[in-house]
Amino acid sequence: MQFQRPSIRRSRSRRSILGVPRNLTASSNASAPAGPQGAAPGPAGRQDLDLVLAHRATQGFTRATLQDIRSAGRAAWIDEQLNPQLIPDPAADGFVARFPSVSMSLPDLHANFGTSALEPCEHLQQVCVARSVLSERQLLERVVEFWHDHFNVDQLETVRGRLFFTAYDRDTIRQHALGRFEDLLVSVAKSPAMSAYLDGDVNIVGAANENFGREVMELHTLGVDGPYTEDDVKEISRCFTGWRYGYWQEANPGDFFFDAADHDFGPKTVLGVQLPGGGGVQDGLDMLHMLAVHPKTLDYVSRKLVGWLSGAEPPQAAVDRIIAVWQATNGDLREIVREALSDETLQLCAATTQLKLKRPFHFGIGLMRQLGAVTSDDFLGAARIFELVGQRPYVWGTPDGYPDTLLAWGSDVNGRWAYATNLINGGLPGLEIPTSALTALGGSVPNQFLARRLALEMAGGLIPEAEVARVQQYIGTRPFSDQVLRDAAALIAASPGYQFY
Amino acid sequence: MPRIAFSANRGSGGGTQRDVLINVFLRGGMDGLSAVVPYGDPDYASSRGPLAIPGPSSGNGSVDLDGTFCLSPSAAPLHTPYADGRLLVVHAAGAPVHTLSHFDGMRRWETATPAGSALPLSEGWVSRHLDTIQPLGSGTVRALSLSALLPWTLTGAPGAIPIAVPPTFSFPGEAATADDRRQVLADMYAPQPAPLGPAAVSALDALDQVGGVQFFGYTPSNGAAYPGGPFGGGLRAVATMLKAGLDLECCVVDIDGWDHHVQMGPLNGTYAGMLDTFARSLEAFYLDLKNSGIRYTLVAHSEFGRRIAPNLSDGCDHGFGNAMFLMGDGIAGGRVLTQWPGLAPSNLNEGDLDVTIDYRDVLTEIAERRLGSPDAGPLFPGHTATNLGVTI
Repeated sequence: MQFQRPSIRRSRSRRSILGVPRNLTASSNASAPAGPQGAAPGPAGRQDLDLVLAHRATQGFTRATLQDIRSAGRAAWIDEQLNPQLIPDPAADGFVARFPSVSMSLPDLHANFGTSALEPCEHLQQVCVARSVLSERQLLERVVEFWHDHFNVDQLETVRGRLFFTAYDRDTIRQHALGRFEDLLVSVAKSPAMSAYLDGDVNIVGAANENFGREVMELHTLGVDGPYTEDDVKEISRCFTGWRYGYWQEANPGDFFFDAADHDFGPKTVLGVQLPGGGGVQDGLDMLHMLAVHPKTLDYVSRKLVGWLSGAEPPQAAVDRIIAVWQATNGDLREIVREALSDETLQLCAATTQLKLKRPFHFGIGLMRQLGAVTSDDFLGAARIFELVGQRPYVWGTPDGYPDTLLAWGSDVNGRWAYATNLINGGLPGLEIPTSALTALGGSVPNQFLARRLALEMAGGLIPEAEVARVQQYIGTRPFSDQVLRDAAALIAASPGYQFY
Repeated sequence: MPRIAFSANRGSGGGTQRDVLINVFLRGGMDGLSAVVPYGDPDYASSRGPLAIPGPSSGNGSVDLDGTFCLSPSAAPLHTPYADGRLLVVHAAGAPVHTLSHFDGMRRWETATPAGSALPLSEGWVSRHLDTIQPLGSGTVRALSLSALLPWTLTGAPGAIPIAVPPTFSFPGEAATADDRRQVLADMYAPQPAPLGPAAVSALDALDQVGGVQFFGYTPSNGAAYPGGPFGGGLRAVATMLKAGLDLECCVVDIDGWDHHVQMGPLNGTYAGMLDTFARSLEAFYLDLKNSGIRYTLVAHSEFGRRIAPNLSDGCDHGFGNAMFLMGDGIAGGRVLTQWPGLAPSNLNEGDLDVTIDYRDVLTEIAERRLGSPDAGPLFPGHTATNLGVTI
């Protein structure tokens, strides 16, 4: 079975959802040269908030998304995206439906695959790629990716945790991605996936395991410069003793389970707060609540989220806007994300922050979306090949999640050049860019406009004119052919300007 | 048209007397106590309990080093360079701060963050070193990490790029247009600021240098046998590149996965298998470069050790003091260098083996005596080094 995104995308009427008439003529003209609405190439594109949104609120820019934002208006488009359950999503849903493991209960997963099977792990990685490429709920996917990094679990770190990861993605991360932060935090803490990953299931009275206790403060809530000490790590770890899940041979396998026999019922002191003895499961819940509403948590997580969505190292004024919404809504993530993408926040960030470097996953998914990639193996090869550029889904080893900085990803350019060139020339496993899809993008324009057309289709107006001109110079010396078209698309993808968004 | 520069600067008759640094990072908190075992410490067996490794007299394959320490059975291949006086174990060594966080510990170690600094630095200690000395070669490819991302050790370093698998490193696409496409990329990236601009210059040069090395069909010298897998293959690739004459000044090779909180298996479980891979890879690298005239210093370490007392899952939680391994012709090896604090409960640091040798003392001496640093003080801000005599 094959999937090609653009035809699906354009078949759906938006009228019933937004009440905004859709200009179908404009949509089918998406491949026309830049019209009056097209942003000028270069940094000026930064001022075009429609374009910024099309890059920042999706797993990969497309002209079709930009058209949608322009016709609906930014606020209406964001509102639609923040209610993903109302967005019909036949392509992604159809793909997911063909992988039953993704919706299986843990006992069913265990019965069908056994404890250590890799098959359901790969299914979920394939579904991750498919949703990112195909789904209409692009903002949800973007937010889900953020929370997967923030509450990172390495899917393959432990054998005992492999099956749990499917439930973690579905019942914790996706379930609460646009819900309340505290609900998400509690769900993470109670999940068997995090428990197996950070040894919560062996954290018992008299031999507290500090793995989860440390990360829940350092990574999930307060941040590494948070106001906690090594003693606080030891003490909070005692609070979570006895938090485990049902083992396979027990009743309700995978469900959260408080084992009083393993709990340390003694008094504890965490961050100066004294917990009298005998608290039981409430000790841990009290700690999660204290952390969820701690001012340092609001600051740390708000800064990170607005940095993810709107600009690296955001100005304090932008962070403060998020914190204010967090306080006013008691941590309603839907409203927090809405504020992070508001005109005011985007403008604050545009004024003071640099463009962000696309991570390898974003880079690759974007190319698949823009160029109409077709899969012959249900994205199995696509998921695996992200390993070569350092970002296969769900397998970052340490609990801090894949980094999101220029410093971390900016030293390897040949990996990106090779990924793009091989994808476009059919050299990545299971993936193909059909000539028809490429021709639809650039085949109809005169040769002298080819680079400019490709740059607009692949990045809106964000690639500087000088780089577009240099690619055009390469094209200009050659008679037009499909291979020249592929070379040109690969060079646009390899250009410095394409790496940023 | 590979343009390989064969160096006259390194090798037996070379001019500049500088080693290439091979930095092996055992990520995850490697339990050095189960590799270089203090079997002669009267408190070892009782404090390690069921995970204690019996000494050489047990006949389990452990190799005695000095009557106090032994190599555990899986570490035995390290005895080959040790017996030649080329491998030094520095024990109860570590970082100045007792952090128990992996990434905080790694980053502070790799950036040599001063003990009193609340936040870690962002530039690697090797980056500072490379910033202060002349390149061995043209300067575009000075350091490699065999990983998808550059580690902190090399973050900000001039001429440093990550190449996860050197034998497959190549310029993509049709050969017929490769030169023209490369030129387009060179032109587009030339005006780019760091990191992308310099990264492109390094990548384009590395395509010539690394791309010109014959990895396939390489035969290691002296019967060296590298284990399969990424770590053995990584050290093998490093040896191949050095023998091909690349002007590398530092290679970082990671061996991941030492976070053995559960079911550690120091004698015949998970840990033992990983330790075997580590030890056989170092042995192979040593034999392969023996008498080659190539000057190198290999430094292997983890971010911290593991707690003395096992937890109830037959693993050990994060600890503090640990073993470091130094290897090379310029290393004063064949011994265990330590100011052993002892494992009696009163001598422990929050339940952990204490750190009595600051790793910065070790690296300062390496930098100045082996890596050509005129003054390694600035590489380790806020630290006044003590000479330990780890080099010849």
